[in-house]
Amino acid sequence: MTHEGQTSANLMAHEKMAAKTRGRSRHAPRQRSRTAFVRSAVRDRTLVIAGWVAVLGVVGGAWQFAAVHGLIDPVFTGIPTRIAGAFLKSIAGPPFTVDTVATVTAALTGAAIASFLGIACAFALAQSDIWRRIFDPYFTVLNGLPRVALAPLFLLWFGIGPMSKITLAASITFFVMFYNTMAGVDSVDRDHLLLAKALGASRLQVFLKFVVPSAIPSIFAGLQLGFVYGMLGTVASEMLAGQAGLGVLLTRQAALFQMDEYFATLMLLALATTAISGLLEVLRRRLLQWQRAHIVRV
Amino acid sequence: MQGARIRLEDVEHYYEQQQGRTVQALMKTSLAVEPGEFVAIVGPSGCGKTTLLNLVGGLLEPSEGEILIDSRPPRAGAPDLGYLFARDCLLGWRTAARNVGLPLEIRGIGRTEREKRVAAILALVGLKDFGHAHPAELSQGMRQRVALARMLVSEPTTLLMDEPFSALDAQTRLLMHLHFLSIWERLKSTVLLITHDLGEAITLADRVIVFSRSPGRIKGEYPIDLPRPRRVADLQANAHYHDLFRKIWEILEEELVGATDRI
Repeated sequence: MTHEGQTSANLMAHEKMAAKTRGRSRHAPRQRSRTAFVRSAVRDRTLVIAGWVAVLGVVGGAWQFAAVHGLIDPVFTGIPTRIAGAFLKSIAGPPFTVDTVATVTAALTGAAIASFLGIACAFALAQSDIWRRIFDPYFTVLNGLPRVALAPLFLLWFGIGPMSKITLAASITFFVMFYNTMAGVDSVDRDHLLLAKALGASRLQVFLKFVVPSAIPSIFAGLQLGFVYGMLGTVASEMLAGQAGLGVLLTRQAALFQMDEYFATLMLLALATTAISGLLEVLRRRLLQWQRAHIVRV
Repeated sequence: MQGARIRLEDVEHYYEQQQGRTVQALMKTSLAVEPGEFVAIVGPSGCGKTTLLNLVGGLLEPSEGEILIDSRPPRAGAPDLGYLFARDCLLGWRTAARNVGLPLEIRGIGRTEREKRVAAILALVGLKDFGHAHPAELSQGMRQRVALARMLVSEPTTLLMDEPFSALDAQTRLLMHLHFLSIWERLKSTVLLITHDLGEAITLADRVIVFSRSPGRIKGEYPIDLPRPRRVADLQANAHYHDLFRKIWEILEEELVGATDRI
């Protein structure tokens, strides 16, 4: 055998052994009782689902009992069984097809515009320390301002159409995206920048191949948070004034003491937000799969 | 000395600190490395070895003196210069193959050509089947081999290596020595290796240079006349290897003892 051949043979043997040891240390305790392990995992899962149902049953049951037996006043609290009925009616009718669609569309539009602007601003300001320092105090103060306070202003400027609530949603999401992107840019590994320099990367290459990919996890966290804040801004604007939307419904139902319908609308709002957040989470996992290998191994 | 690949003439380096104070990292140093020569620099930590390497790599400008690589001043990112750091510096979002292809990508080499060269170099470092893996899925040794492949892919004539095996466990490090020697004995590129491991320096290099503690300067030079191709395992049984080790260690130890006073 040549020297070279021996070298790579040794190396291969080492790798194989290392892989085996790694595999063994990870699976050995499970292999001994693989079926027991699977069984206990299934049992845990069943237990969790049963727990969910139990919590819902206890809270809903107590609520139902208290409302029916006059411990609390159903005029103010609604009755769970009637809320469930109102919810089914909402899903089949305009509260879902018109208002939920209006609210989610406005929140998504606002969040999308703000995300684009926030990411772009952060990347632009990251290029120059001076510009960053010039804008920093203004961004800090504006971000500190509770943006809901701007709702009357935007209603005056843009009227009660979708434009005013889109603007309010965007005004909140913008800063979430800006600060998250900035944190992502700052998180770029110093060693990676040294490598970029050693490889003679141009400024644009450093930005595209090193800085932007480093910022992606942080940007995605911002997108998820930004959408939730976008919903907040949209509903707040709708509650003040609007033509359609879940916020409009909530104000009207509370004013008319339609508490069953009010709680049904709340459920729609929570479910719509959760559904979109869930979609973003699926997208994030797809895009950031390279990180997950790490999580699994550690 | 005509035709040296790397030449340093009276090079000095200072780092500027706050309030205009300067710290000398490297005292007047002259050095010539011949084409195809493997030179290792050993010394206590913080002795300016990395500064020297960064100067040769064009990542730093010397405060005084002149550095020439093939009679030209060094330029960071020159394609004939390969760099290997202590940390593998792999980009976590890229697969091993795309990490290896990064230097070619930065130099604007087309995709087909890139993929061909990456595949060849991955096979050379024994990672033929791991091109699709992300760094998080690889062991430390494999990751450093990806970094090695990334350095070799642009076929540099000069390799600058900054403690490239120091982050590896002892066993993996020995295997990397074995592996790197077999590759280098084929490529015959010029190597400047920075290390704090004297055994590693003697095992790999043609010449070992001992650096004094900070500010760094050359304290001694020792030709390593062990025959090639060297077999890492056989060196342990080689009396001359141990003679060299003992001789150089005596010099190095003075510096290390001095350095511990400051810790």
